[in-house]
This record gives sequence, C-alpha cells and structure tokens, in this order.
Amino acid sequence: MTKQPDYYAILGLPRDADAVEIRRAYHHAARSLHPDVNNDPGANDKFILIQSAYEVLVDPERRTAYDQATQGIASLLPGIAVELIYSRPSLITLEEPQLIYCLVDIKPPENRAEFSMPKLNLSVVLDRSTSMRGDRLDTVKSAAIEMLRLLRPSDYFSLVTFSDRAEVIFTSRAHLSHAKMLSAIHRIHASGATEIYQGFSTGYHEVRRQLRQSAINHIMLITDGRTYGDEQACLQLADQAATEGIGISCLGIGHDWNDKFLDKLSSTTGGSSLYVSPSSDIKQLFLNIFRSLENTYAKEVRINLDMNEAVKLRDVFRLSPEPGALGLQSPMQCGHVPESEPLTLLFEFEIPPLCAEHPSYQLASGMLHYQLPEAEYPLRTERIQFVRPIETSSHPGPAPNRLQYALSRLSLYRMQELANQELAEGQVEDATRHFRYLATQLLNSGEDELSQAVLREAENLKKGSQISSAGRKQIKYGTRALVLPVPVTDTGSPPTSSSEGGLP
Amino acid sequence: MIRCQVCQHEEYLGALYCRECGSPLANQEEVHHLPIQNTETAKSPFLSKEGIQVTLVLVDHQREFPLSDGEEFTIGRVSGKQPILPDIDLTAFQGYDFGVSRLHATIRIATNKVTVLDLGSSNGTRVNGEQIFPHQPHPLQDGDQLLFGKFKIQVRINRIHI
Repeated sequence: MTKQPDYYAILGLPRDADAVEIRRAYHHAARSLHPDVNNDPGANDKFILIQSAYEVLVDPERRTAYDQATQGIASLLPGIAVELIYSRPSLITLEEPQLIYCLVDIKPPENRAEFSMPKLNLSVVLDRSTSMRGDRLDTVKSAAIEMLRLLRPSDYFSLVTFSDRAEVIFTSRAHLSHAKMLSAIHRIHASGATEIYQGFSTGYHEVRRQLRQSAINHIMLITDGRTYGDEQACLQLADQAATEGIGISCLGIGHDWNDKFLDKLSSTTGGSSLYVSPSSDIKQLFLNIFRSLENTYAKEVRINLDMNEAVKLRDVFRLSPEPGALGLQSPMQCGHVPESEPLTLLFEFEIPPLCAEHPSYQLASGMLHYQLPEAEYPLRTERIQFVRPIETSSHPGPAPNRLQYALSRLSLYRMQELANQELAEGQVEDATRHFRYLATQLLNSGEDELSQAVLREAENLKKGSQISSAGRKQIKYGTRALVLPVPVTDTGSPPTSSSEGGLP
Repeated sequence: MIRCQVCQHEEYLGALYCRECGSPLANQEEVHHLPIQNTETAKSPFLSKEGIQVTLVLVDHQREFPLSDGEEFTIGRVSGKQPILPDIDLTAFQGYDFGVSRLHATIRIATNKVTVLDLGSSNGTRVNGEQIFPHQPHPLQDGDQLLFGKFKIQVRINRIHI
C-alpha cells in the first residue's frame, strides 16, 4: 500500500487552511528547502514534494479528493500543546478602554514519542579584544573546552574569535585531534579593538554553510565591549539570520557592553541575551545555553498575529525558558520550546470602549508556526485565537495565580525600564521617584540586594551624578530574571509577594 | 478607571499592578456603567466626542437633527430680535403652539455623557414623562423621549464601537 504524503504537514498548514494561507506556506517552505540554501541530503526530494503538495492543495477538486483519501493520517495529531490563561473570564461593556492579559503556554503534547536530542549547528563567537585580557578570557576559554566535551559526532561546531578582525580557530569538520583543538584554544590571546560585525558575520557564515532544517542552527556571541559604527550592519544580518532560522544568544560580560544592542540582536531571532555580572559563573551560563539548545523539542516558534484593528497589543513578554521582551515585529520570533518546560508568553491587550452588540469579542487570531527538527515533516502550524465573551457586568474574582505572579514580577522590570527611559529624556525627578518606588517593591518581595542596588542609584541621581553603568545592568537584568516562574508548590500556587506597598 | 490606593495613580480596568508605584491594584468591586451614565471621568481622552453621535428625532414631523461639530446645542424658537439664537429652531414645526420657549433647553455632549438642561422654560422639560428641574443637567440615554412643553423629541445616541 503506497503511503500518501502528508501535504498539510509538508507545507506546515492546519487542515482547514484557505487559499491565501496555502500560497503563503508554499513560498515559505520553498524558500527554506531550496537546494541552494539547504544542504540536508534529500532536500531536493523534499523540494519536489513541496511543489506537489502545493499543486494538490491549491486546486479545490484535487484537494477534496486528497482530503477524503487521507483522513486517517497520523500527523493529524498536533505536535504541540497550546494553552491560554486569561486574567479575566470576560470583557465588560465600558465607555473607556480596558486591559486584559493572557498567558500562553506552548509545550510538547501529552502523548509524544520519546525525546531525542536534535543535532546542533553552532558557532561560538568570542570577543578577544584587549579588555578581555586576563580572567575574562581565561574563564571563557575554559568554558569552551568544557563544551567541546559535550559535543556529539553529529554536531557541527565552529569557534570564531574577533577583535578588529575575525578568525575561525577551528571547525568540527576539520576533525582535529582533541589535543590540537585544546592547543588552538589556548593560543587565543587578547589584543585589539572590538568590531562585533567582523566576528558575528564570520560566525554567521559558518552556521550558514552547514544550515540544516534538522539541526538547531545557532550563534553564541560573547563580548564585553561596545562596537562602533557597525551596529546597524549587525542588526541587518540578524534580520537575515531570523528568516533563515538561525538563532542568536548573547552573553555580555562586565558592564561596558551595549545592552540595548545585544538585546535587540538576540530578540530579533527569538534568542536571548544574558548579563554576566562580576559574581556570575561564566562557565555555568555558557553551558546552560548549550544545554538548552540540546534540549530543544520544537524550534523557530513564530506567531503571525492578525489583530482586531481596534485592539492594541501593548506588550508581549517571554517568561520562560529565558525571560525577555519580544519584538512586536511580524512574525513574532518566540524562540524554542524546551523538552522539559513550557515556552510561556505573556500578552497585554488594550481593548477599546465596548458595547454589548455582540456576545463575544475577537482580540486577535493567527497562526503559530514551529518546527520539529527530527520529524519527517518538520514544518507545523497551529491556529491561535484570542477571544473573550462580552458581559454587561461581572465579578471576575482575582486573576489566576500564575498570571498575578508573572505580572507582579514583570511590573518591577517595567518600572526600571520606565525610570531609565525617563533618565534618557532628562526627567531626573521622575526617574528618581520611580527608582524609589521600585526599591520599596523589591524590598517587599524579599529582594534585598536588588533593592539596595536601586537605592544606591537613586542616591547617585540625587547627588546629581549619573547612574552607574554596572548598577543599571544589574538592576535591569536582575529584575528581568525575577520573571522566571517559580516551581509551583503543592497547593498549586506560587508564592505571592506581600501586598501593601507603603511609601518610603 | 481603577485608582491605586497607594499613590492615587489611575489605571485602566483590568490592570493588575500600578505602573507608577508597582503596588497591586486591589481586587475592586467593579462599577459597571451602562452605555451613557454619570461618570466623573473628565480626563478621558480615549472616548472623544467623535465617539458619540447624537441625533434628535422630531417624532411627529419625521425630521432628524444630527448634532455634530459641537458640545452644546440650544433648542428653542427664533422670534423677532433676540441676542441668542437657538441652534435648533422649532418655529417651523409649530413650536410656539406646543409651548416651546425661545431658549428652552440645551443638550450637552461631553466625553462620555449626554445631558439635557432646562434653561428655565415656561412650560418645562420632561424626560420620559418626568419633569426635570431647571438648570440641573439630567443624563440622557439612547431612546429617551423628551418633551419641550408639549413638543416631542426622541434622542438617539450611537457610539463608535467595533
């Protein structure tokens, strides 16, 4: 019995896709599987399959016949589970705007095959400018050596260093002996200025050369400084990388690096940036990233959202596995779904004034695309819809605990963003006031150290000096890290912060 | 709007934390408003007047006056020389016979409410049969029946929504 190919899965479509969606999916799939772009053995065969899939699905008669013949296909089972948790059960009729929040959990489905770690196609791009001299470079070298041990034969790896030029120290394809790799790493020394684009583009080309749909394609950038004049070029390259499914993680060491820049570089691809404070364990952070790449269940999660015109999507924030603000570009790059914890996003919607003309209100709808690296047909799509009933009155009760907790943490991060924004605009008084409020809230939450750090900066401002660059990073990434969900206790609720925030 | 109990900052309904001071916004009893009512939200730039379309329907004459480009509309009669002319002149509709004063009442359209104010007319103003006190604004809802003296006018209020 000849097996019918799953044309919907081939194109990454839900079974009820319409003509526009079919065409869009075809173009996306064709682009990423074109033999010029993809080196997977069999990419050419897959490319031909995509053509066939498109031809069948786009023709209504052939599609109907195909649907009837393939009703039992196993890939009808979703490759992912999506759960929505709203802050209120309904919207109410109101003559002014109202807010509503939604937690979106994206995780592997209940019944799934046993997990097998996907292949890696990784480039580690390492800053070896003068400022990295000494401990910094030594620790990073040692982390790289540790990581070499964790690589498997099927993984592709390249080590790139840069200062004002870039060098490829070695790639795994070179099949060097372990001793030769170690000595190549040891020979890395610090000197020169910082031109991130040099290193970044070299790493990008290494990954691109080995680009595979079945692998986790990723660049890890480690730097301690600022680059001048080439930030735009880097961001453009990051955009390109995002369309090709290459993720970027950034590790910023010390306090001189440009956090807005590295945040943007990574969030463009759904990756994340990390702050390596003086007290952090660089090796640990390095290896954590590496391990999370290996533990990817689904990669390249993207959301194409069509908003109700009247609704404002004010914010999307990723709570886990790595906290960070998501860019509101379309499609939204959300990162990957780990094997062992959900990819959790928090949406904030602003609804316009409402009357009770319809019983329910659609905030937004769209498609959630993701890829299962080891699957035969990796491109998948689920529909996602944000809908709420409208009521004329309600007593909703408190929002679900997880949401309360997430928002209480997120509000701390946002307050420091607000204060820093005000500083940038010269509104020192407003910034100081917000830092003070933030310090109080941190203290109420038991975050003594962070609270002290905030108060120190508020004092600096009061004395008329600048906020310290180290302090600013500590506060920013410290509050951001608080957003990580705490393991739920037996009572089913995470610890809540103490409520009343008295003024200092 | 919800008011933060710690710093008095206002947030939209549905917000869980105050953006100003970070305090949790207590789970307040929500006060729900039917489409147009007495609310003291003067600073509410989000539902502008352009969001409300008021139309006065002269029931017995099958005429409609859409009220646009303004906040206050006077209803009355033009008769001889008078310093203030009403925006809506009911002379042609036998206003005199029906007891409409020259300056009978005003309709005010604010950011989120519509009210009628009797200007001290001779024969008074009724809303849905009930006489209202002069010089005291009375809220109006879509479909209300107004009587200026004996002159019948129905109020239609439409609001911009999805």
